[in-house]
Amino acid sequence: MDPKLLRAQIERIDTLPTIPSVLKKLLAVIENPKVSLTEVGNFIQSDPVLTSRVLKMVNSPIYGFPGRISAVQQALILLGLNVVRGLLLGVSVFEVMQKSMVGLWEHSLGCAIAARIIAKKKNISEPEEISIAGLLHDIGKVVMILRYKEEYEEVIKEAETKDLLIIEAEKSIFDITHADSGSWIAKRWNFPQSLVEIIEYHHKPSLSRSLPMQTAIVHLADLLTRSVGFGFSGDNHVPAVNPAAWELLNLSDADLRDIFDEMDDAFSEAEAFLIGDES
Amino acid sequence: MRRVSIGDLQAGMVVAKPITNEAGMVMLSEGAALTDSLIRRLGSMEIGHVFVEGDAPDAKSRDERLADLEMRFRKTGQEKYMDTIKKVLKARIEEVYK
Repeated sequence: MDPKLLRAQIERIDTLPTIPSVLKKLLAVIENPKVSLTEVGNFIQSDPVLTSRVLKMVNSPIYGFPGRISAVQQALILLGLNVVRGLLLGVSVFEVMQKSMVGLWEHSLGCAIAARIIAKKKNISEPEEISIAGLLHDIGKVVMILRYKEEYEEVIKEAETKDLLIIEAEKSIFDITHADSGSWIAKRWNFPQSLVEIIEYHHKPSLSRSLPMQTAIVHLADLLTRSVGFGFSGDNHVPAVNPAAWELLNLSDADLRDIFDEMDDAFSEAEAFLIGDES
Repeated sequence: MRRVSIGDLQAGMVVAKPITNEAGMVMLSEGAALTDSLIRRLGSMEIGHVFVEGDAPDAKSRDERLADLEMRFRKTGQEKYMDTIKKVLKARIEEVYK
């Protein structure tokens, strides 16, 4: 397929009738880069389901804030506007994720958690932003499933029968990958350039120019989440780590053990949080 | 022996490995049975998880977990640095069942 046409179609995805109405309403708010914290707060609070989801996420092991955050405004101040915009997108695509690829939501949550843990280990400032990049790194899969349901089912079938990675099957059927479509849509929705870049290069972290460390973190978080078998990214085997990214992160065996320990603890808390959405 | 997160501990579970605080001091030794008040006190310390006796009801066996790991790394386990990641994961599984 022609990448230019694909891009144009994907960028107009919010006009699709199959897009959930909550996502449409939300996009109108988060697409606006000049939206204020108060506006976002009011929007969240106007919807009890959204409020409960946002508070659940904020209190989940994805962030690891001490103590309980019970007010939306408090969450907004703690996380900042960009993180909240990403979080809102995450919680509103999760239904689509759950329906389209069983386990993709868990994989995304797992990657968000692992990204925060690695970022902390590397003393990166603003681990919440990296965590959001982890949550949204596979958003491209969601938009491709939404826009090209049948073709994407073919991708999944092709990966299965030929024992390929999803990304390889995407390339053979679409000529583009979910990293491309994800970065297009993140850009189209006016997400920060940092997020666009991490999504674009999460499978090729050594191509990231301005954020090599952050991109390497999300790349490794994706891989470690798969390597412990948490959630399902569409692949039944773990892709190889990018050697340059691994060298840049420079983690010792002991660091890696600590990271796995923390992931274990956070995942078992996260599992409790995954069961039953609107309780 | 299995590894249980602090939030999932229940009274009656038996400690399988000594629990130490940040200073390395043993707070509870092997064989101690947990009570609600002990669990509450552990919860207020900087401890993420505890090793307790017995397998989880739906736990996979050591061999099943090792086989799952082999399966996940079957195509890339030999690649640069993937052997390190796999080795660390394998050691963690083996440690639990020692």
